[in-house]
Amino acid sequence: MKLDIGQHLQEVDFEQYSMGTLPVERIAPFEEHLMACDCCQDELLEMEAYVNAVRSVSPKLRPVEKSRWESVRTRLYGWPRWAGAVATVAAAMLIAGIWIPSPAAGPTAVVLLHTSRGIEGLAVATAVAGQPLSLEIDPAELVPSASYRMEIVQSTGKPVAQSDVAPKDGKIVLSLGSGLAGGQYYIRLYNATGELLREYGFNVR
Amino acid sequence: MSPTLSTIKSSDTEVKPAIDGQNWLALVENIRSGELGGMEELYRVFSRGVRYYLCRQLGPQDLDDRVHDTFLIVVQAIRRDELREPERLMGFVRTVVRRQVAAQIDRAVQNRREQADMEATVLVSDRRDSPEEAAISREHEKMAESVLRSVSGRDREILTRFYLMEQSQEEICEEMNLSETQFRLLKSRAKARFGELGRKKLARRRFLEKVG
Repeated sequence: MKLDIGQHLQEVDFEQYSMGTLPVERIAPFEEHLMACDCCQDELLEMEAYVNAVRSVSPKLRPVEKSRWESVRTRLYGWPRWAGAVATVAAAMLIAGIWIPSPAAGPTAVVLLHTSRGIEGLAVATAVAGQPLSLEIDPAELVPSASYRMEIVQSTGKPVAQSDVAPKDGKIVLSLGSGLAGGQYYIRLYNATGELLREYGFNVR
Repeated sequence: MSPTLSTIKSSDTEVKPAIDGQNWLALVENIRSGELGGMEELYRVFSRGVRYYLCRQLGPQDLDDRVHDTFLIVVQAIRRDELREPERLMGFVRTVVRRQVAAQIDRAVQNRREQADMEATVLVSDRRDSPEEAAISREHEKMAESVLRSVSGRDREILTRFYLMEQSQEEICEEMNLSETQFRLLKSRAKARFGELGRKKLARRRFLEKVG
């Protein structure tokens, strides 16, 4: 029996699906074809490997963004001579015990949480310990709600943080100003009535 | 209650089922009447896809059991005549698989909660990549690095904005002064190059395996 599984999926569909941006009304037809098409399964695997690899590598190839502290230091070299006097006063203030706070621990890392797990080449979401975090979830496949609750627990189940969050600009975002300590975490998303909707693995190095 | 499917509607367009329902109708009929050929055909068509979806969502552990359970549910539903739209068999299989995934996640969350309550020294599974997976990831990263280094700094910036920073196509095209076609071509070429490198590596590995 020759079964008609329809036309093959397009590159743009694979890309959007891999990135979690495929419009919700196209997810079902996409996945239905995928269930029965070996060829498109291979294409999706390749696209996911590509998207993940580009995401891992591209930060290394970007020109390093200067931190605020470095920018200030660079500018100091261009300042006039009286700047030396200002610096002396600042030093005196420091000696007198007036603390000038040091800059925050680098720029905020945006972490996109996906439900993909276990495929070769795909990694659980990761971040660096202590770095400010912005944890983002695409609510496209969820039942729309004015508010969700995000909870972060350690691998032992011990809660670390939780917050009620409202979707904004098509994303559910939880910001953690001081980041997380190294370890394995799970991020859970609940609806307003406390029903668990999603759970994401998250590794902090 | 068996899962049922309905035609998916967006706000202004109706998305038609992507398949000709007649073939599926015949397959469902075969399974319903207990023909072994029908079961074999069902397994042939869906086993890889179901395995793929389950692995993607839940990882490789207990995969064979999960695939088996999924087929049992599908076949039993068909035999009990619970499939309301036989011509939409692909959608039905997808629904069953999605429910399997949701149930498994619920179980995992429940287990972790119970274990955490019992004692603080409970064993936690190591979620790091296996050595093979880590090696594959590294290889993919090398290939992506090679692709990104082969394009201009501007093109690299465009790809980074799209894939890493998830800026929209419109936003990038406007800020980087690009046409939609230029943007699409750049992405498509970079991806094709990545695939090409992967295939070359695979061919080289197969050759070495043969001669080695």
